[in-house]
Order: sequence, then structure tokens, then C-alpha cells
Amino acid sequence: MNIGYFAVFVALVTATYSFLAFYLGVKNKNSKLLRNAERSAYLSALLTFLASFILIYYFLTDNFKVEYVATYSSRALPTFYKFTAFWAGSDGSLLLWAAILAGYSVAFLRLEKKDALTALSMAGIMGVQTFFLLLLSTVANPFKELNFFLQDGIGLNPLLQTPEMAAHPPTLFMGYAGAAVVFSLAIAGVYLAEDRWVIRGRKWIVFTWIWLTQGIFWGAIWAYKVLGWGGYWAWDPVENSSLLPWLTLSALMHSIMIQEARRAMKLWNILLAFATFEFVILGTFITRSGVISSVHAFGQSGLTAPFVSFMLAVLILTLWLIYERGEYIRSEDVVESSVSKEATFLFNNLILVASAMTVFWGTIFPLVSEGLTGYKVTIGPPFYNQVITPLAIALMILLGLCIAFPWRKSAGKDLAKKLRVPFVAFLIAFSASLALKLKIEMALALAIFFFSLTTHIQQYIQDTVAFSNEYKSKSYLRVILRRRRRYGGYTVHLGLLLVFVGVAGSVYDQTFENVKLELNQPKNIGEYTFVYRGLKFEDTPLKTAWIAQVEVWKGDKLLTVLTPGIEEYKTRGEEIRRVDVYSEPLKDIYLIFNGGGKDYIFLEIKINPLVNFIWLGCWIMTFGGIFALIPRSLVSKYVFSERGVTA
Amino acid sequence: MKIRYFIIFIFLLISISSALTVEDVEKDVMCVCGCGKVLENCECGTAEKMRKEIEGMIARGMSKEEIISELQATYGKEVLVNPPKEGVFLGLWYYPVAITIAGVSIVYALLKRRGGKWYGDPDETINVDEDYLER
Repeated sequence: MNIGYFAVFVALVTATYSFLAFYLGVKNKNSKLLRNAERSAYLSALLTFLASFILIYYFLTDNFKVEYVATYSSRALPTFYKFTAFWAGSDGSLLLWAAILAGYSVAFLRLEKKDALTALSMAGIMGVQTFFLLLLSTVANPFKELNFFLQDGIGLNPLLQTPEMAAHPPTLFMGYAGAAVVFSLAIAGVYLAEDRWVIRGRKWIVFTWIWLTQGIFWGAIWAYKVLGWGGYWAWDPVENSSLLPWLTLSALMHSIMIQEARRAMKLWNILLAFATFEFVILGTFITRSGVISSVHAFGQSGLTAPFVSFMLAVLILTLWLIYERGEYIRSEDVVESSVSKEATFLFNNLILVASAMTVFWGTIFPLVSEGLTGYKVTIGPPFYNQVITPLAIALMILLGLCIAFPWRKSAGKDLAKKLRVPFVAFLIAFSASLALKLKIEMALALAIFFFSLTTHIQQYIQDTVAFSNEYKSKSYLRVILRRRRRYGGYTVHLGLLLVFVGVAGSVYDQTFENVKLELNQPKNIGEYTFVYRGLKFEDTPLKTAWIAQVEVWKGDKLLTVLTPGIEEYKTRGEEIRRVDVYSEPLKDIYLIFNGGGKDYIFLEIKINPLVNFIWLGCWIMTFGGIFALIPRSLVSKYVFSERGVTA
Repeated sequence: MKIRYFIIFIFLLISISSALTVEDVEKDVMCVCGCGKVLENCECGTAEKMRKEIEGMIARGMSKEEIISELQATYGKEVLVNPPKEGVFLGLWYYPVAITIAGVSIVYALLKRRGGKWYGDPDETINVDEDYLER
């Protein structure tokens, strides 16, 4: 038996024991069983890490006896990509999933108090871990050995040989596995009828959300820089499956605040935790099985039955718990007035969940249509653009409005006063954009951006003034540190607004042209001049590459020399186009090499405005999430040292 | 009163439509060469031919809907990026509207159920660490 497989198998046994022992330990109040469950969880994690290291070792040592290594690696593959090839295929990526979840289980045990809530949450986490280890031990064994020894492997798909793709799966899986922790906490809280799950869940929810954001970001930047079609989001089922849990988790991040502060929305929060986890499992399934892009994979994929069964089991468990704990879940009414922050939270949840349900529907509709008509339809970007755009606009406006609304209730006059300046900002931005001859859609996007931005700045000024007596001249900083979660959230809002403007810019203002560039003959497109200076040829054991040298000028200033290319990979025989991008703060110049010769080349030139705003927005959102996670102990000396400050 | 005029002004601006271009149409149809790409993302000879056809139809004064119908008649429904708005496929388009209406109804019902006990300032509660709250 392969040693890696042996590690996975023993990890499965210990995870199963841990799952049962945690559950029975809580049920029977048996502390000895709980201690054993904890030890088993540690052991299972250790063995899962060990299995991962063994697989990495096989990749680094070109062990082509292992089928998975032979399929995704080759001798000529650079060492870094031999390492990342670990998660290039279905089996390895499921092992990565399990390894990350193992890490979460250890962190959860180390960070949380030793009580029933933690123990029962651990039962949930170990239950999920058992599922993944079961897959790895049966239908998705990455350690399966060939009966013969290959001299060389097939090699890694060239499109995966990029730093972006090295980052995308681990970051996304950090988010996916985190969703399992959030869900486990939620069901444990409901089972024990404890509101504390939302308080403990905060950091896990935000942490998970940060990683989901990062995962989506790296996926988008990979699509933009590597796939070579000039966009970052194509509403592909696999892309959608990463967006779905992000949407529901974003909703949960807001609605748990209502439960924390007002003991309300309990049922809704459980449903959101459930939906997030189900979407995560669905996403893992769709990506691994190809079930949406090839409906017939349903009957062929060995992953279909276990994944569908697991999703059904999660659904049944959640519904049973809701039924059993109906009394606890019954929430208190939350809204004192329609003109309140609570009301805006309801609308925020409505928009996010409606978006998630719509994207979900579009993603699975090919299956529905084939089931009903035998005809598998294509659901392309126009559907999503048409239905999601109004929801996105509503969300961005609400993002500004919700800041102006106070908790509990507000007088109409106060609200009008608060919205006066943002409204003026909206008008100025809108008129200025039209004066600059921007498209009306772009003008509207910018106007909404400035409207929402102004409400945030206004609130910050108001907070600073309100705390000025307490904090004197440092109130501008201390109020942010004191209300870390609020200002972390505001920072996330700012990032999201930037993403919104970036998307609007790249959708409504993109220009592109297919050109034939003659050697040393300048060609003007917009404010730029392009000059083809020759073709370079490179030959390595891994690939053959033809790289065009294109100078980009703006007026009489040489901006850069771009080098888009065509690469042919030897072992796999695949040909890909390597795009090259030059980024200015407000515009990207994006070149795709479509072939040619020594004297001329065919290029597709795209001028993509504001794409950098999307990347910047994602980083700001991540930073906001991290800021919200700063523990009290780190800032307490600076913020809470004043006499009389108790919070 | 001023707000009302402003809203009318905004709607008038939004309703200004620009002339139809090939780019407007090619987003909604697939290239028929078999590559599986949306026409706007395909650069093959077939895609060029389709663009010329669309250009011609625009020059003849056809609307976007008419052009798409014409393309559908020529190449079959597989040419559409999205399914036709007919029969069971209508479900695709009605669903988001139904979901949003259902959601708005639920929110409306919740907003009507006035109440809510006050347990403290949420801005403080949500910014206090869990260790502190669990004491």
C-alpha cells in the first residue's frame, strides 16, 4: 500500500472517530470522550498534512509511478509549478481542501474555549473532514499507482503555469473550508440553542469572507492576464460557483449584527450559513465534475453520487434542526421603523440573496433545460448582465444610504439633512462626467460612487466629532480603532465601490481593434501609437515561443515595450497565447498576438479603462476585512486607557 | 418639487439611446464556427463573415431584435447566447423577477411587524470583542 494512501486512510478513521466522539461526548456529557475526540482530531490533521507532503514530494521527485503525478507534471516543469501541480487536478485539489480544513480544525481547537459549543462545532467540522477523506480514500485517490513506470509525465496545462493560478485554488479553498467552520458553528449553536455562536462566528465569518474575496480576485486576474480574451469575468459556471458563497456570506456578515445586537434574524442567519456551505460544496462539485459544462458527466463522474448525497444530508440536517429548535429560533421583531439601519440591512440581504439565487439559477439552468426539453441551452453573459446590473446598482446606492440611516429610527428631517451633501456630490459627479463626454452609464456609476463615498466620509467626520471630547485631538484615529469592525466594514464598502466603478469602466468604455502591424510602421489607436519592432524566437525543453516586440508610445514618449507571444508546449502539444498588458493608473493597454511573421504581425489591441480599480478594490476589501479582525487586546491600551471608557 | 424635476431630468438622460453598432449585437450571439465563443470574443473567418452580415442588417435599418431573429432563422437557436424568451425558457427570465418580488414582499411583511427590544447600542455591541461579551 502506498504510504500516502495509508496516511489518508488512517486520517479517515481518526476523523470518523473524532466526529462521533465529539457528538456523543457532548450528548452524554462525557469529558473523557471529548478529550479523545480532540486527540483524534489532531492526529487526523497531522496525517492529512503528512499525506499532502508526500504528494508534494512525489511531484518534486518526478515519481511518475503515481498516476496523478504523471498526469499533471513532467521533468521539464519548473520546480515551483511542480509544487503547485499538487492542486492542478481533481484528486489533489480535494486533498488540498482536506488539508486546509485540517488546519482550520487545529486553529479552532486552539483558539476557542473548551465548551459544548466548541465541541459540537468540532463534530461538524470533523464530519465534513470525514466526507473529504472518504472521497480521497475511494473515488478520488491521488496516490493511485500505475502498473508501469513512465519516463516522463504528460505535464501541467500551460494555462495553469502562472503565479495567479498558483494562488487561486489555495486562497479559494481557504474560503471554502472556512465556510464549513461557519456552518458547523451555526448548527452547533442552534442545536444547543445558544446565541453565542454568532459572537464566536464573527471572526470565522470575516476570515472566510476575506479568503473568498481573495480567491475570486486571483481567479479574475488569472482570467484577465492568462486566458487572453481581454476580460476578467465571463459568468462561467465555475466562476459563478465561487461568487455564490461570497454573496450569501456577505449577507450573513451583515445579518449576524442584527442577531448580536437585537436577538433577531436567527432563522435567517442559519439559512445563510447553510446556503453558504451548500454553495461551497456545489462549487467544489461543479469544478471537479464538469457537470454543468458537460451534462452527460452526471452518469460518468464518480463524484456525483457522493457530492449529491452529502448536499442532501446537509439539507436534511439543517431542516431537522430548524424544526427541532423552532422555539429558540423564533426571533424577536427587529424593526422599529422603516427608516432605520435595521431596515437597510433587510434590503441589503434581499439584494445579496436575490443576486445569489439568480446566479445559481443561471448556473444550473442548462441542466434544467436539458431535463425538460433535451436541449442544453447556453447561458451567456447577457443574461447575467441584464439581471444582475439592476441589483448591483441598487446595492451600491443602498451602500451609501445605509450609512446615513441610524439604528432604531430616524426623523425624516434628520435623514434629509444627512443626505444633502451626498446628493450634491451625486449631482456634481453626474454633470461633470457628462461634461467630460463619458457614456451615461459610466456617468451614473461615478455619480453613485461619489454619493456613497460621501455618506461614508460624512459618518467618519460625525464620529470623530462625537468622540472629540473623549479622545481630544487623536479622536480621528482612535474612533477608527475603537470601532474597528464598523470601519473595517466601511473600508470594504470603499473597495466594493471601486470594483463597481472599475467594472462599469471596463464594460461601458472599452475600445478594441484588430490591426496588422508592419515592421517599424507606426499605427495610431486613440491617444497611443504602436510600433512593431520584430519577432523573437525562444526554444527551451518545455516550450517554443514566438514573442512580438511592440513599442507603445503616447505622444513622443515611449511608454513601454510589450511582448505578447504564442507558446507551444512540447509534451502536451498545446498552443497558447501569452497576452501582455501595460497598466496606466486609469487604463490598461492589452495586446493579444494573433500570429504573423518577421515583417508583420496581427494584433488585437484593447484599451481597458479602470481595470486597475477592480484589483485595487479587491485589495482594499481584503484590508478592510483584516482591519475588522484586529483584536481588542492589540488596541486597548491606545483606545481604552481613558478613564470612563468601558467598551 | 425640485427633486421631482431632477428625477424627471435623470430619467430623460438615461432614456437617451445611442445608435446600434455591431458590438451591441455580437454580445448576444455565438460564433457558428463551432468554437463555442461569444461572437465578440472570436476572431476567426466565420466571425468576420457574421460581423459583415450584422453590419449589412444595421445598414438596412433593422433593430437589434430583428437582427437577432434573422440570425436565428439562418443559423438556428444555437446561435443565441441566451435561450429564446419562449416556452420553458421563459422560466429563466421570470425567475429573478419572481425571486425579487418574493423577497420584497417578505421584507415588507417584516417592516410592518414593528417591535424590537433594545439591548444596547449595536455600534458598541458589534465592536466589542467576543471574550469581553462572553464574560
